[in-house]
Amino acid sequence: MTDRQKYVRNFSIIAHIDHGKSTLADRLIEKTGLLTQREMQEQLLDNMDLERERGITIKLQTIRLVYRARDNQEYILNLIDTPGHVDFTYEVSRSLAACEGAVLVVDAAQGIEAQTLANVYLAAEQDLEIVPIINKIDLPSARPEEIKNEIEDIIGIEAQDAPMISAKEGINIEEVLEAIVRKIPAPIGDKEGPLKALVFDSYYDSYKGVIAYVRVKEGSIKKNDVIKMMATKKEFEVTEVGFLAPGQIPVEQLVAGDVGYVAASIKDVRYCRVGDTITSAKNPAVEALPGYKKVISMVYCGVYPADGEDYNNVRDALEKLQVNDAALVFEPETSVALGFGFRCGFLGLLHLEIIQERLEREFGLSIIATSPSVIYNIYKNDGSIIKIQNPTNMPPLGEIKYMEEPIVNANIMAPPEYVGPIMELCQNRRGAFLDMEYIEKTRVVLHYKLPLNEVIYDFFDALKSKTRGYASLDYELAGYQESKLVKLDILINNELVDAFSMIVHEEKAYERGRNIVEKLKDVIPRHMFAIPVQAAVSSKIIARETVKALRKDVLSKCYGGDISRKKKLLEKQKEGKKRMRQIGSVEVPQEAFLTVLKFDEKK
Amino acid sequence: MNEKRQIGLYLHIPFCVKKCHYCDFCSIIDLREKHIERYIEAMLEEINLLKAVLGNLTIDSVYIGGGTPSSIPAHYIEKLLNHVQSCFFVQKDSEVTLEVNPGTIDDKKLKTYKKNGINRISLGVQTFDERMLKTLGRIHTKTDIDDAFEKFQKHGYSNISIDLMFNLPGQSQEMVENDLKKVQTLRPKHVSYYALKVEEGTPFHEMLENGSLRLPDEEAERLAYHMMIKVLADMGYKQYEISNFAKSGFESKHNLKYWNREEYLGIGVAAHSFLNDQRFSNGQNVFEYIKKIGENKALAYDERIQIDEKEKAWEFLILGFRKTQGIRIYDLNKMIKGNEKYYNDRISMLIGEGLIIKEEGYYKLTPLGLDLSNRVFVELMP
Repeated sequence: MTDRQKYVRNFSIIAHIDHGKSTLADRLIEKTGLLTQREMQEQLLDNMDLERERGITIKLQTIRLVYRARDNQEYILNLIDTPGHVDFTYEVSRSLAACEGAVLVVDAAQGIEAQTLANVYLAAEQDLEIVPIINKIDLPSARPEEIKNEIEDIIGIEAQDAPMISAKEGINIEEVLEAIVRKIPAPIGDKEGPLKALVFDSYYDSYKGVIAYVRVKEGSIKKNDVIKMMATKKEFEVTEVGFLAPGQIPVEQLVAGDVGYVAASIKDVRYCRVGDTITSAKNPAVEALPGYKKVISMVYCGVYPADGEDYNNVRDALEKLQVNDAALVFEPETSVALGFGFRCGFLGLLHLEIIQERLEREFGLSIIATSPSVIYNIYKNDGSIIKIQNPTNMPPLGEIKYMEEPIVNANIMAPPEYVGPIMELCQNRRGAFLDMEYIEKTRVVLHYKLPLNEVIYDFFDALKSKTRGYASLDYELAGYQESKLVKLDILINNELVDAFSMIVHEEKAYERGRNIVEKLKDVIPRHMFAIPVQAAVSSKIIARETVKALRKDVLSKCYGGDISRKKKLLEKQKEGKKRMRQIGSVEVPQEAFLTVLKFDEKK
Repeated sequence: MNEKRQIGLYLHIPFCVKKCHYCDFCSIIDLREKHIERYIEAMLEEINLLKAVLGNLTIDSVYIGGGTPSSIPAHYIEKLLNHVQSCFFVQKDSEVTLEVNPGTIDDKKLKTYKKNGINRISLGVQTFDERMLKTLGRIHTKTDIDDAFEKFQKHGYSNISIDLMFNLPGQSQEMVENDLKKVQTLRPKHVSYYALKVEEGTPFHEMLENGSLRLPDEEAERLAYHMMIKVLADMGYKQYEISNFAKSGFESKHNLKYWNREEYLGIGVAAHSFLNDQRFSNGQNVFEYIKKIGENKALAYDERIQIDEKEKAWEFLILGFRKTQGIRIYDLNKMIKGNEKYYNDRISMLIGEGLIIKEEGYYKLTPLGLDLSNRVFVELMP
């Protein structure tokens, strides 16, 4: 170990959503004297609005802290933030691979949750030293001693001397810093060896090109070195290396044990994928660091501009998002109902929602998303096999021998009183019960095999609603399974609206179809004529509702001479009309496309 | 400035005995004289301020609305009208209307009104159904309405307009018919018949939200509307606007100004004006109005909008089409110069949909167009 390595600690903070990860990060930054209190923006690490609102981290932030410990030595603490959701498991695992230790934050009132466990397993896979912290001890419902036992019993790590803190109130933060210094091992690695640097995040900077966040495992890297990406085989010349302090602080070189950034005029984020290993072109490493995976999209949907004129803007926006998000894929497609748009692939449902919201918020675009879909395998009578994710591409039933759909292993954790409703829900969503375990008196984990297409529909909303928000869910792909699937079509005024089509299990077709036509009946405004709304499977109508003809659309009142008020009311009406989609002679509001996807409390 | 132009004058009296459950007009129920006094003083001041800016104006219609103008002592109305006359030139044949609530009227008030040139009464009836009056939160009874009519006759008032409402909670077709029968007995010269629209912030809105109030459905509402048009026509009331009916020659001059895009000045809180292609209005708060105008002695409009050419054309269309007479194609063509294609295409489409017809140099709404007029107006938006 070099002297430089001796005083470096590389770590992540892992926690269940809402257990206070970001708040703790803020406090650590504050305590290390990097920033004055005034400069501290609340939750410094989560820098996207969306993340702050949802309290989850999507893109990684890494920060270098300088801490003078009680032993009077100055330590460099590299805090590598991790995204906090099941959709981003791979990104989490790469960040963890850049560390020697992880600070595990557990809520003193809620204790261990599903995500706590999932994250601990990920950290354990990377052989990280886990440093438990009990947070929120200021809460009246805090039960820190019990939680300590819980950590020891369930996770099996020692927790008796775990710092008991309140990140929110700034209590005992120094204990956390001391624990990091004391318990997490210093990095090792030969700085003279061939370069091996793990890319754990990257983003696009319009001046410098792709900025790769790296952990140097072996060797060193400096300006003007020619580097090679081991997965993509691309070579680049380094233009800058540095630390993240926060903000980029250029330095002469990064050596084994360091965390920092590398810029090399890389034009496309896809050449610099998370998990890849950077090595030297002249003196390459024999093998890459383990764990690189090309991320695969699991969930697909159509994304269309609400205003057709925005097509190019949507494309530009998706391209910009893709630059920082290698997991997002898209290609152009057309829909009869929605015109020109894009088929997009996502890691999961949350990823999908985040991209939709970012398109709307960051780019000011109004978009319509079609029902999410998964990839189906279709074995045709002629012996060929096709994979489809767009329902429109499903061949007629007559050509299909059989179909397969993706299945996930789902783990649902909840208090035992909700086991009934959860089982009912899973049953209802064609789930196959695998196992149930009590991890303690107040917590149960249910293991189910569930078809992914049931999970992406409204499973999450239903689960939350049935368990008053107490249940948590994570899942992983577990292969494909033969299934009787049909294409459910929706017809408005006798015209098939391709954007509403979805592939569903045969037995679910009626219920889903009924549900959709009922919702559409309520959201489609009355027109000058009656509008039939129908659900069909293989051109057989299985459900029907009618939107009655409009009888009245008048402002009868005089409002004195207040003409402006009248005009405003009409302008509002026109605004509403603008957001409508013309389907044949029927105007369908954008919300129609959303409401059909929403979980219905009554069901 | 065009010397010959004639302007309508609106005076807003924001005082009421009680606020009706559906009302979202600007009014307060504090009838203490010190407030009334200060408010009227502020109105007088506003007139002075306008006079200083606009000079002599020729007025051909005055409308005193509210609120309930008849709820305050009549000498304030006298004072206002005197001041108007001393500042502006009020033509001899002007229509001078005062809004009256049947529960707030007496001989003395009527005498004062008469003396000061009020020649038209707009009586807020809403319905003749005793229980419905209670539901609406009206302060008057059915008998009060009859008494009011008797008094009007006694004081020589023949130009009476009444306000009625339909689409009321629990109102049956028969109840609307009964209201119409009563119209036949009382023989007002003019009827304004509005469909109840539940506005946000009113008790009715809250009740509608929490489910304790139910209104007739669209079908029943239109049935009542179509029926009333027919019944009133049979009684000799011609529909001249979406919600207004009159015996020949008794159309409201003042309200026609709104629909003809003629100029008017609004005095008082929440009052709206239209002058020199500008629409401007005072704020909604009575006490702020008193402060800004009565005490600071300065005009202080909440909103002032210059109407550009495109807006002008749209206003011309959406206001003109409210009249059953429709809009004169000759006038329209002047308004839409340079944009003929845009408007003509849309009008053709609306004709195709059966919402508009062309008749003797006019475009007007068909009966279906009257039912769906907003559709027409939205389509014609620039």
